Amino acid sequence: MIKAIFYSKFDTIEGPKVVHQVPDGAIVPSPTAPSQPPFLTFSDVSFFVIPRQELCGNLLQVCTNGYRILGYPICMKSVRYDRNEFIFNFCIVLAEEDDFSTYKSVVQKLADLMHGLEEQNGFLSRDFSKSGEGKVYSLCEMLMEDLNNYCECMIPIDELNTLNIKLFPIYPSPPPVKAWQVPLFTLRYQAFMDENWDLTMQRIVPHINGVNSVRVISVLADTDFSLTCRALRHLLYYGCLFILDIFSFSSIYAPTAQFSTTIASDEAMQLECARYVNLRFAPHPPTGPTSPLPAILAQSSSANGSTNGSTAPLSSSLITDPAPSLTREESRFDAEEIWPLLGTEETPSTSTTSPHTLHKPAIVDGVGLVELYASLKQGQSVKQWYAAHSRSLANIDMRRFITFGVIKGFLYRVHKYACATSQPAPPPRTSSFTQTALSSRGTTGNSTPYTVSSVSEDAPILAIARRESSRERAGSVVSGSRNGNGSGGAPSALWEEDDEVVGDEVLGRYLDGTHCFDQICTELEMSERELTARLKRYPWEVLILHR
Amino acid sequence: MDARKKKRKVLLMGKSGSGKSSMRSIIFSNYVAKDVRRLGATIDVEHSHVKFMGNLTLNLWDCGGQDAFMETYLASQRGNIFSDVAVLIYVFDIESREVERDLDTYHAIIEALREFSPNAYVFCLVHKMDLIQAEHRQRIYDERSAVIRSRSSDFRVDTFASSIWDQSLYKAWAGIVHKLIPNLIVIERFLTAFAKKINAEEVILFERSTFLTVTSVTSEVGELNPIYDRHERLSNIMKAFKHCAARNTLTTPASAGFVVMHTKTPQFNIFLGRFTDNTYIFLVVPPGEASYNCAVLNTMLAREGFSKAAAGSGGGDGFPLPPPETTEDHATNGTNGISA
Repeated sequence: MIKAIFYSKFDTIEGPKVVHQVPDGAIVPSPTAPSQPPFLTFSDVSFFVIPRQELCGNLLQVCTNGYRILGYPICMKSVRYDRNEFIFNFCIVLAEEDDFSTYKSVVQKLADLMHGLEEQNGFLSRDFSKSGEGKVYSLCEMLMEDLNNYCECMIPIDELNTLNIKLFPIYPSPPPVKAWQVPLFTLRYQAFMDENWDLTMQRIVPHINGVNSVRVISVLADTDFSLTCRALRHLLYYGCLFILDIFSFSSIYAPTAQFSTTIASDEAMQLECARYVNLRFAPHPPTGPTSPLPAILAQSSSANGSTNGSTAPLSSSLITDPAPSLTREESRFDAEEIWPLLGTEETPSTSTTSPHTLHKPAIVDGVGLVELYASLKQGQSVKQWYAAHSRSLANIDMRRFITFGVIKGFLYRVHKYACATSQPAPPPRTSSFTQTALSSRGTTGNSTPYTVSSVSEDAPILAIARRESSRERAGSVVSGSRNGNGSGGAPSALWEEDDEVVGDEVLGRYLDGTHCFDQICTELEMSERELTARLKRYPWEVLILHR
Repeated sequence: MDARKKKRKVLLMGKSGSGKSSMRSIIFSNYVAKDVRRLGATIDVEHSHVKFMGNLTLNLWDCGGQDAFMETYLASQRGNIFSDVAVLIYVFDIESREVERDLDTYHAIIEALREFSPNAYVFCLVHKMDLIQAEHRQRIYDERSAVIRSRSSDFRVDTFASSIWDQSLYKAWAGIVHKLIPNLIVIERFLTAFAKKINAEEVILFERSTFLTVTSVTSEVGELNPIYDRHERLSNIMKAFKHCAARNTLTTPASAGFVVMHTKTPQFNIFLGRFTDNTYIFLVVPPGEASYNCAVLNTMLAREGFSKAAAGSGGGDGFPLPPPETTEDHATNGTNGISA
């Protein structure tokens, strides 16, 4: 927030002088604003506002009295000036503790523009208007108002010059994007994207849906992988994306320490969750899997009702600004309608589109949702959990249900890591895999209808990618394309015969305990089931860690 | 003498545009008068260390004269500016239309000086005298210096009329530096004795880089010389000569030194040459080849004695002499024979 803007110049008789100041009396006492005490004593800092000639042309800042003055003094030499020089400075005053990095470019740009204007027609040196009047003053006034209120300004100065300034926030660099991560928009990208955007960006955004991993996005969009990562980092930088993990029924999720302070106690969040996961509010079936139409996001995994809630725009609108929009939305439904219905005993996973055929069905209310979340735990895959709660989950989009928890931070993904020991592999019967690993291994093969459909969409692409990359496979780690959420899927069976392509040496590099299964599966293009099977044949004992 | 005394603070003050930086540039930075038109205004205080007579460093504070600066000197910077001052040089612009206001400022400065450095010398230069018609100069200068004295409290003030366009500038500054040389008495005593010995009509000692007169000895014959301002005229001429030499030898005026100049006329002989590291000596001797050569040789011999004399008076402080040099060095370099 800019506290003040002032224009100062070197007067050959009076010395450094504040010509215009906004607000009035902020820097030097003003007869028109006698009650306002100045923020600072100008004579204390005048040496840094109007420094000696050698220091001009540099960004100078000085802190005094809790304020920070940012300025960019300019010294123009010409015989037309009294004493051969014209020294001026447009300064911005901020609170000392405020972040000022964004304003550096503002003062510099202002100085450059004024330098140009002065050179063209003596814009400043011919301005003899009194303090608080004239063009230069109104410019300072508008600049401060616009920057404080709109973070940008477009002030016409004359027929040739306009002062265009925008404040750009400076964020830390986002972490590198990994192939096995899943981006999800936090806002409706259609609202701000136009045809001038980067080509890679234009191609990848329709595939960002909270389901596709980065690798899959680059394959679907037919874009270079590293360019895809860079484009996604740009979106990440501006906070347009969440980074999620690959959803699969073999994954394990567990509540975090924040669980009790968020969903468990926050009824608004429970409502928001219900609104988000209830299949009743899922958007209409999309027009096609890879449709470039911007209106509704094309979904690659849409054929089945279970995953059709994956359109980013809807989910994100709820995520970014959940409370107000939701309470308004919610008022249009009565309580029964917002809560997901319980499934009937006989048909747990069918007829999701016609719940009204059932008479006064039971619902999963807020408490029910919390209970469902609370029942997620270490050592239990989503599949196992689903099996235990299939009736409650009948009208709930499972992926969204999990994703909601991850985004809100009260759920976390329990990743699997493989770590090879120097012990020779024991006989298969007495496997050193932990009990949970064994059990999850045992269940991953059983595919649900949802994942089957989801993966079958991906299959052709994956097959192509796989074919290409297997040609390249020259002994090093291949960065191929494989969708992790197919780990429980049927297509893996198609490839079982060429499983041995991944050599022990290549696999061994991933077995140091720092590579999660998602990464290994994505980079080696295998399903989790294949990987687990492959690890069993590894010559050394392999421990699987969940964390 | 301690280190502080050697680094004497010289304040150069006066109203904005009165010509402080201009004269400083001409005296100490080898500017010529027309070059100072290109100078910009002085912002705040410009500190410079001017080496004078070798190890006498003048800590020159050229203070920007704009009202805002003057206010800070007298208020927040008061102690910083006015303590440890050896000399205050206050410059008045004779053209100023606000004489009374200028004097008020001057008085405030004098009061601040009395508070922090009551033993300082005060010099007032009534500057830009070239703008006054020649016939009125003396009268106006006398009037103005009387007013200045009346506003100087109990300081004894030396006033000079000056202009960058003639030798008056050198006169004023020679008067100033004359007050600053610590062992001047020793030097003067030596020079008097020396002048008597070689039977010189006049001996002038010039500082090397500024070519300001350090001191001079004039015999009874020399006193008959009608040119009263010959010392500063010589400074002016030699400065101009240095500029000319610099132009023709593609060096800077500061580094363009010359070694010796001889002028022999039927009425008098002149010798101007390097004396010590930091001085040039100017001799006027009666005509006659033999006596002239004798004087030159004696001068060369005197260099060593000079060194000893200075050494005997307190470690050669303020007047260091180089180890004895061979005279050939001097003879080889550019000997000007000017006949009048």
